[in-house]
Amino acid sequence: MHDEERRPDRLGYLVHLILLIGVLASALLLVVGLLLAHGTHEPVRQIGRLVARAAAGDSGAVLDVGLLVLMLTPVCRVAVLAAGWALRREWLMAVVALTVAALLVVSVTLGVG
Amino acid sequence: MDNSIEHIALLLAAGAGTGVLGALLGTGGGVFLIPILVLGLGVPMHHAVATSLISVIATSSAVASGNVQQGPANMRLGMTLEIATALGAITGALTAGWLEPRMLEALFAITLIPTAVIMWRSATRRRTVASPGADAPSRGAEPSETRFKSPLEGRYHDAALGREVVYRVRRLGAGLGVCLVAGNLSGLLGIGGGTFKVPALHLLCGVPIKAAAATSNFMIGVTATASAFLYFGRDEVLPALTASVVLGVLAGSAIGYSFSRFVGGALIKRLFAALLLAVAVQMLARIWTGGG
Repeated sequence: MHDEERRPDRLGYLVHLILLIGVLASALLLVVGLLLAHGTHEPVRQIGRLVARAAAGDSGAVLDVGLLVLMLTPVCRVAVLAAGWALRREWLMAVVALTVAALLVVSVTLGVG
Repeated sequence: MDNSIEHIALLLAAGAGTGVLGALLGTGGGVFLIPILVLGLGVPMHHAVATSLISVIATSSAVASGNVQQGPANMRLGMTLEIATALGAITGALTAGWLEPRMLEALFAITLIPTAVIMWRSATRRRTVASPGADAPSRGAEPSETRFKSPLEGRYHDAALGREVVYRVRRLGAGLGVCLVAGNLSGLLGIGGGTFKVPALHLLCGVPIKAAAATSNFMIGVTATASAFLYFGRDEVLPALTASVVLGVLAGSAIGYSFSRFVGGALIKRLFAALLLAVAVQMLARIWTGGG
């Protein structure tokens, strides 16, 4: 098989891995968070503090991190596709993907600062 | 939020049920999940929408991971249309932040009506082995030097037809318009939007139905993400509730897909189309009488 014919499979495979890893990692964190579930949830919107509280065993923070991992999985997917298309010099698709990524960054910024 | 084992088990079951239904009926499940949460479990509408969006991300990511590697999802077309859907989703989520819960409920109930009609009609549509036009090779669609790098071209191997399907996308502008609206509805109401996008991709843009469904599913996760962060920022994502539902939906989807080939689609689609209509009437009646 020519290298060019193999490339779509590689990029598709990478996207497949990212989606799978993201869902599995998130599911694991959610299960752990539910098992730890106790007390009241105090929303923390600074990522650094959130991760620190999750590491300390705060069940609400663990759940929030798990949900954020899930929500960031499609963002990673878009970023990988943008990079993959740029490396292949498919500039039109790279710009399209970067535009979508920019919209997602706006959303992430509005949501978690 | 009640973190008791019984409540979490109830949410897991609700998620699993909608996951199974979504897999059997080919929908994102949000149209079932939100009424269950709002009517059945008394979850406020904005929290239900946020939970539904994150569930859509979960199921879309899980299903798309298979379609992208193997088959008909057109990533270039999907990414191009995603510009419109993501924009629509962000504006939808921002709008939802200004709306009263009852108004959001009313809009959701009204959206259930065309969803039910589309579901009913899809149950009566005959499947053809090869439908001319959308599935036939289009002129000039032979492998070119561009190697299908344009979002307007696509190909995939159809195991049922036993051949490669090559197609060319038409009316991309109209497709972008529909995706803008579908994205707006997704961000506003917590649905995936596939119910509107798949027919639009197939009928308006000439994308074969399998590729349309796979591409839509590839997109809805990104679309839901674009709005989910806004709900998260407004503290409308209840972690334990959402986590329970998401895990249930993932498990239910896996079960549903395993059994989907054994279950007759048409009768179930009609039954649930009727159920959606009944739910829409109930939600509207509840709002009209000032209940909830």
